[in-house]
Amino acid sequence: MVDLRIYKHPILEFDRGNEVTIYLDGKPIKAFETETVAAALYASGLKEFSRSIKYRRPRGFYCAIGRCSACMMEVDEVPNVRTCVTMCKEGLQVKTQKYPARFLAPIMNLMKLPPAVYMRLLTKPQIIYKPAMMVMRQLTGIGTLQKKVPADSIVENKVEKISTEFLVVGGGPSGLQAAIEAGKRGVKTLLIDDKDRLGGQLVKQTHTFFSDVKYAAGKRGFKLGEQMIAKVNEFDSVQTRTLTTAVGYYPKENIMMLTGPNNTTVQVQAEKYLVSTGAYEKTLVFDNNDLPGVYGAGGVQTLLNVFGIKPGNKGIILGTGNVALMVAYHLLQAGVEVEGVYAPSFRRVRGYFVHAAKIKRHGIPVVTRHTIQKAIGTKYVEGAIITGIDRNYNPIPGSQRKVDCDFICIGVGLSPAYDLVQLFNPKMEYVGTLGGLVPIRDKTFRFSENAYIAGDCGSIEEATTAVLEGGLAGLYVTQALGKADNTVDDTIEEYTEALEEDRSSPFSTQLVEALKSITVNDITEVINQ
Amino acid sequence: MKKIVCRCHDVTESDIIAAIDSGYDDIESLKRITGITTGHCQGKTCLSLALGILRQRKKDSPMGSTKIRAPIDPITLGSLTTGEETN
Repeated sequence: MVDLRIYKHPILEFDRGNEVTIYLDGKPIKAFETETVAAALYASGLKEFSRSIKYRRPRGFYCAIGRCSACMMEVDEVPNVRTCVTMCKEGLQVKTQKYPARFLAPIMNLMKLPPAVYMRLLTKPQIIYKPAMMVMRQLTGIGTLQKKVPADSIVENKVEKISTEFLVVGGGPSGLQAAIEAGKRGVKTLLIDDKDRLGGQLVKQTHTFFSDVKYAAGKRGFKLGEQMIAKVNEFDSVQTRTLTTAVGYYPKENIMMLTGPNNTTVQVQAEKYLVSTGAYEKTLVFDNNDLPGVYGAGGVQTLLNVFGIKPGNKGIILGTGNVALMVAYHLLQAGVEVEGVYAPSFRRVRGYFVHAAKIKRHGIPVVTRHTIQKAIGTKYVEGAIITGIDRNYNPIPGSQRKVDCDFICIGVGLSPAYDLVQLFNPKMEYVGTLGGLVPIRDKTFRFSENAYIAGDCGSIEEATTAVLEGGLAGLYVTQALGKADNTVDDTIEEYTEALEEDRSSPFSTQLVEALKSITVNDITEVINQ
Repeated sequence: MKKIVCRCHDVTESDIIAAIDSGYDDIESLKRITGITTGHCQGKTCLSLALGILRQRKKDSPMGSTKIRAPIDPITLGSLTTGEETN
């Protein structure tokens, strides 16, 4: 039986907990209680998790963090469950959702139906609606509802209501630091995260950070995360909740709605909010870019460093920033072969020279002026066509070459999580240097009546600046709540200096300018417009 | 061979280009005609790709997201029906 788990890693030790057995279409699969269903299935060699809604294209493990829709399966008779955020437990029954024969795909292709047709076709007259729905469900493969509602899935008609002083959404480096600084000063804080553990992306970083020594450097990322989580748990004033997602904010009532484990609903009323929801991964458009085996860099890092599972035997990496370079290094650590890092940029890679040098030393070529044109394979990635690009990013004819690999990792950058922020009705601005859509804020990181922003969702930078920004936001909130003690001013100064120093390199000039352009003195003027 | 922009609704690059060329050349119209940003993921992958294509075809098109409404993450019907009625 295939087992892609890593049992010996130079840096990490995987504490997988108890072994359990889950069933895929009745076949037993080895799993561990700390793994998600998708991770366990992937470790057993499953590549195709579902078929796409219209063209029946195979879809596999992709984002690993509940952002895409590629891993939806039927779990314990509930259809369309995102298996990458569902934890394994003994005896779990997982089923692939039935889809019609593949010969239908070309017919669907010819019909050129817009997606809305799937939802609205034949709703009238009522007599044909039910049979039509059954046919549609079959055609789209979106599963069938169970006939009887299982007793344990009935949610009690009760909403938990919480009021707190400070609600932090997102338990990554910035959220954690904000909770630490506010909690230390007695601010009643609630920290939520939609994952099963705090730490955000820090838990996936096995390399050593450099830059500011006092706050982050000299430690491996996941160690830093562990330390911050331990610190947050020290304060009685800070409550943490994992597997809890912020799904809506209603400004008029000042209520944030959360869903917790087992579909519970929580309403939170807080005086101040911090949005530190991080970023979404950017991706590329190329032929077959949805084939199982094409992953985001975050997905690969999750597999490798959270669950200790190899994404494949040999891969290529697309991207030019630190994320792409670091994933190559992480793959090396885990003993996975990397064919090369292909960077769609000119002259030099955009990531730190130190990182590029580190992977070159290990014999991984970093090839600039190249991008991917096509992923080869019918059911999963069997290779890729790499092409040279000219100044306008157009492929150069004749420069194409075939590369053998069984996975393709795309790490072409991040864009700020733009959704939750906008529910606070801020003024948004598109700034390319900062990664995408970001809110206008003032010097205290406030972007609306009662909400603050920190970390990657405000501007794409790196972990150290996220920690510093989070700390500052936490301190400003403490001040705004009137809970400032005599250490606040000094600490703010300390953080601000560190932040300035961090951004003082010539590479950051553009970034500093961009940040200046979206920072205003009086935020109330902007939001009342 | 397809270049997928929206994984949730299987919208391809050529679908988007065809829509832009037939006059749906802003992100809100694109959303309504192709269904992008309306799938399970609510645009977490396709929005930035679609904006990129839009920029390529039409240089002066404004960059911005489609209107965001709660819930921003999939929730069960059960959790929607909890709670008492208010006016």
